[in-house]
Amino acid sequence: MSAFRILLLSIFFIFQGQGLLAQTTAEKRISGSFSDIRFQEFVRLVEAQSDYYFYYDAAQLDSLPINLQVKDEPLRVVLGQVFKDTEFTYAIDQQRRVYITKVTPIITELPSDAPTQERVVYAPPGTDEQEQLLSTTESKLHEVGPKRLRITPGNSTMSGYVRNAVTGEPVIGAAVYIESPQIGTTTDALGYYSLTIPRGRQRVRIKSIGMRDTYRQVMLYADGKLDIEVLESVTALKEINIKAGQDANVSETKMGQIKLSIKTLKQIPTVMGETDLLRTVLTLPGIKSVGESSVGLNVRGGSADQNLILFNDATIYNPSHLFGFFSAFNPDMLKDVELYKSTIPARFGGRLSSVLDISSRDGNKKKMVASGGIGLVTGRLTLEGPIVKDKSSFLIGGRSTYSNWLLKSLKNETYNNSTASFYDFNAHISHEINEKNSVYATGYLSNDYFRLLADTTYAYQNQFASLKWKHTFHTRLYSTFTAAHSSYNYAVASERVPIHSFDLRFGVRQSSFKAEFNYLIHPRHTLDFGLSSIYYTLSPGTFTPRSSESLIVPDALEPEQGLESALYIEDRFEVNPKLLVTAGLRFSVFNYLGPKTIYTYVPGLPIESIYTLGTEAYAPKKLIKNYGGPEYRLSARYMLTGDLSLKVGYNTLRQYIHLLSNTMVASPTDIWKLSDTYIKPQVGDQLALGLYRNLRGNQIELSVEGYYKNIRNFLDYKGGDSLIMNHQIETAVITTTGKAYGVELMVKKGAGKLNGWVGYTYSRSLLRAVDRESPDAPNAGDYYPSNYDKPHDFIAISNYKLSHRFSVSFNFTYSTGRPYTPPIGKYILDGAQRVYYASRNQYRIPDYYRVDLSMNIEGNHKIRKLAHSSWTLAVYNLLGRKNPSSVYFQTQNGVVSGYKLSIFGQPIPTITYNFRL
Amino acid sequence: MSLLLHGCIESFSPPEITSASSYLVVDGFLNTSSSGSSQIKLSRTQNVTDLTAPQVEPRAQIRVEGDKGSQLAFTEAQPGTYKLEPIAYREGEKYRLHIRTSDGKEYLSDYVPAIQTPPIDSVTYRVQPDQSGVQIYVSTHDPLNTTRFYRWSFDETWMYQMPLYSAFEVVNNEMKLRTEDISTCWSHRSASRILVGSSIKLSEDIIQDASVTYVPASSGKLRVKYSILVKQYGLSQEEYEYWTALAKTTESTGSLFDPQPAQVTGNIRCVSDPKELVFGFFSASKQQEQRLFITEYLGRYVSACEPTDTLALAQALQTLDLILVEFPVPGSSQPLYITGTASCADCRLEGGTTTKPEYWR
Repeated sequence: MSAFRILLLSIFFIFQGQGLLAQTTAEKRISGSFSDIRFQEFVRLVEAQSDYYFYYDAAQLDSLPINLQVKDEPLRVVLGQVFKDTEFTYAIDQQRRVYITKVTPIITELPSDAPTQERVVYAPPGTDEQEQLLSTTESKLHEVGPKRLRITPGNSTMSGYVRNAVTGEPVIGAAVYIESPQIGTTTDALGYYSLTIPRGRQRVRIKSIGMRDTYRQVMLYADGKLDIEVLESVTALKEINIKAGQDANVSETKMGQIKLSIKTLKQIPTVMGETDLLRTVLTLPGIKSVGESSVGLNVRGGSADQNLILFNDATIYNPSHLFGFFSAFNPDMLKDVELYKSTIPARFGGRLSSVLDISSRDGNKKKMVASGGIGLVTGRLTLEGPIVKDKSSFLIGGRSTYSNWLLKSLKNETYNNSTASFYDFNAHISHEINEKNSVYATGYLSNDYFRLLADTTYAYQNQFASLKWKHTFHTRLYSTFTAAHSSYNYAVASERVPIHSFDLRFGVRQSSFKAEFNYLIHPRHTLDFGLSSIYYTLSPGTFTPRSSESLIVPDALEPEQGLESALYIEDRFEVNPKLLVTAGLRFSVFNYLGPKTIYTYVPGLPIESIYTLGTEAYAPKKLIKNYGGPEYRLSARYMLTGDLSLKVGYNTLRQYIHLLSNTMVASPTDIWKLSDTYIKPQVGDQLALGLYRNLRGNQIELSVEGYYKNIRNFLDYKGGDSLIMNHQIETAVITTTGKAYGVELMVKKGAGKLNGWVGYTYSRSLLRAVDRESPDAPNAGDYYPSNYDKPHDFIAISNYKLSHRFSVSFNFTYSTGRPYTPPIGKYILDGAQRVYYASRNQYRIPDYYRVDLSMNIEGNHKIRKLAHSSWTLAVYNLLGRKNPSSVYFQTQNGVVSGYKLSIFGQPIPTITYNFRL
Repeated sequence: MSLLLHGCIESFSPPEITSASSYLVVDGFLNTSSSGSSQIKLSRTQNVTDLTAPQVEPRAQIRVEGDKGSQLAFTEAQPGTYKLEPIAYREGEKYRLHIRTSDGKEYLSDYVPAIQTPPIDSVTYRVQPDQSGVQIYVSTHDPLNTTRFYRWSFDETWMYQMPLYSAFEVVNNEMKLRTEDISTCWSHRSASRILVGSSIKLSEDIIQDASVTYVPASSGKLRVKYSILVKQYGLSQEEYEYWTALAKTTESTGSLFDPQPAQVTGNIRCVSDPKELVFGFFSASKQQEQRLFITEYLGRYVSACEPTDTLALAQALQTLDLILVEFPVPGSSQPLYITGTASCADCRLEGGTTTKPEYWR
């Protein structure tokens, strides 16, 4: 008898379904007082007073104590009380046999329409769900936490990593959730998730970009760990996924946050046929650049220096090659990029406008893979593989131009005398020490060398190294410790006139440390807290003769030092299913440190070199000036209906490092400057409001966001002063307050044969001198447009999948021309000719528009073959419009002439071959 | 990449550059010194692409109005140049400039105080140790400590002599003795550099040896006798900042070290349209001046100058060279004439004038 009972139990897994079937006819009622007895005893007592017969596994029910008082109750009621809050269930058949099973009750009779279904021996998987039933991990019940027989009501936390089943890489931003009640989370940058849900039987669903949707059946006893491996979705290779959770657009509190996966990046046609991170980011609403050859991004009316660009947590100062023609990121190294433009989490700080958080992939932990691409101008190669299988992996990648060879082969002397080259090199190692500790190390080097027509040479270099240690204290508390060092150097050299030949160099270095903690204190409260510190060393310029003939007098600006530290805490609070609030506070402090000689000025008069009083010298490490203050980060989401939400966000930010850029030359030269005695930190706040709606089962996302920004202590330049090698830079700048506002509309279709997005932005970015009465105040002390004020901006990105192997992308971009300040006349005064300029930024260069077309041809889709390859054919600027990227003026024989430089003034066809071994 | 390098550079001259309006330029000030006259020049701005001389603004009415009722009318001395003879000025009165152009537009400046410029204490010079030139300095002080801001301008005059002396000239095909000495000339130049200085950082209003100019010996100005007239004007702080800003605007643009574009206008506005640009700063200041003579005989003649020929009268009347001297030939009634090139003998060819300035001593 007992053997039969066990046999019965061993097959209960094959049954699915939640319906509890029980016979209600002619039930014998049960009475009795069962006080702290074992289940076997309970069965004996019940069988004694009725004709019920129990089938059960005595060993399983051995430790289930029974404490019950019943009087004349049906057996169903009694058993209901016995098995309350346990995983056990029961079924009673017409012969009054009682089957006690775990989780799934025995179905005691065939459905009434059974004959028609019985004939179906096998039905092909019609839906994903059925197909996935075949996979054993999905049909298995995963037990999380120490096993208990009786599960008390309440919540527990399950946590773990979501990884790619093939490569072992963490899956970032995957949505991990249950549907009823709706509770969810997303994996962090390390693929880690932590989900607090009601204990008991749950179906946990996992969705992620480019991954097959999957789920795990979980029996959650208590806090515990569950790692989840997910498969890449092979058929969904061309799918655009902008956000992790498909409805995250509507349901998250974060607004103005955009995540692009490498797959999305790969679809956008770019200048040289190579996937380009920054160019793709530029296609999103609210993000602009001053010109085609410009280095920086302007996010929501902010300047280029107001973006924190992090690559694996190390700061990148110049994110581009060749003045912005290419992004300085090898596409094969990238996993994804996240851009925050309105709600900036409290763990980030130090820049006003946005955070661009770029993550590299982890190398393949299972097998060696080589991939690469060959284009007309650049080539790249990436190698990855396990060091210790399933534990640690490496990923190294390099990219370079061979344009020099191209230039030399041209039959034109000017080209032969020009060089343009760059390379970048990345290395990334990840290692899982044990379940609770993982370490990651990343190194990066990018180098640019650019000489135009044998005259002026520009060279710059970005470098960084970062080391990250992730430690899990327990399932609800984990931490990340990161140490990084980055540097950026810039050099300009001229040799045209031997007696004027010079070398000009700038540099910035920073060492940083941060500790970040994530603590799930309560199912509805997640706490992020931590601290960070950055030590800056800037070399603002050295100017030296380049040859012995040169008559240049050597000059050097004194280095600058500063320490920026911050503490933060942020709580994500789910007030109720409709209202989600995130509130954060960050406190940042900046110390400007010696050694440094500070100029002093006559009190009561403007800070002008003509009013210089003297200098004051500070010893090494001596504190020169302190700044600091709180930064508030607030955001809230309210679900108006199931697919419509309203979000509000308010942010304040502080920035202690500034970029000064000479805007009058064809190739801007940039100098970074720390806040000092005279130059105050930039302070910004932004209020944003957005409405989000998803249609057609989250296939179409509609969003409207509006924002208003205030920026204080933004630096603009006084007319007539030079920024380069200026020992008293404080006399060459004016402090302005800025305001920026705008509305961003976006329609995005993420699935289907035709996908892409259309965005329109109306935005303004205006500045005004703080000292409006000053003769240096531009535009007579009134508001004037900033260099990157481009009110209208329209973008359409579309991708049409003709077949699984062939897709076409078509993009259109339009924006208002950027403002500029032309010389509009000359006159003679006091015996000399003077040139005068229009009021600052009162005129605009011609509007910008461009059409691009690209085609992607994939090899066949067999998963197992020697090499996976694809071809990309693209035409950049199909219409050949000569969009000016720079406008500048030169004086020749006393006549000032204007020139416009259009870099890509004709259609540029490219072809690229990509492979993966 | 080749596309990338040559890019496509095209001339860019949108309407805002090629057809910008022409604005009024006011160049001058009210000289409140009891002996000096005042001069104001009116002209128009040009497009940066224009190569012609700037247009002057004739037939305008210029008046200086005092806040205590003074009305001083300038008269047009030549087209575009307006003058006011010296008069006595009231203490403590503020003035503004009132212009009515021939097309009926009116322009007004802010009221400016009449600055009582202290006299120049000294104009001195120092010869470089290697005799390569002289550095000229100005010193002044204001015992009342009120002036604080100064501007200087200067006029240079130098006397120079030619290596060869031409005693004769051919007039109506006759050899005659010259009535005018063309071997000695005086050249004149006004400075176009803006020179400003301030004693604002000092506890007393003293300017000690502010640099005025450096005259290199190679310029030839110091060969015989050199003179400099240094003019000093007291400024308001506002005017000081105007001149400083103006000094920074240069002609050049487009190189790495160029200043940022600036728009320096001044303190004059159009009455009917305050947005209209007007260039120039009207000020009222007592002009002080002092003259310095330098006789250091620095610098050498650069070109070799020797007599070119010796000619008989008939040939001498035909030559293109100048006649230096005649000398009698023993045994002949016809003297011979020694000639030299004009560039070695006629100082006027170097731009000077043979008229001795009245201040020359």
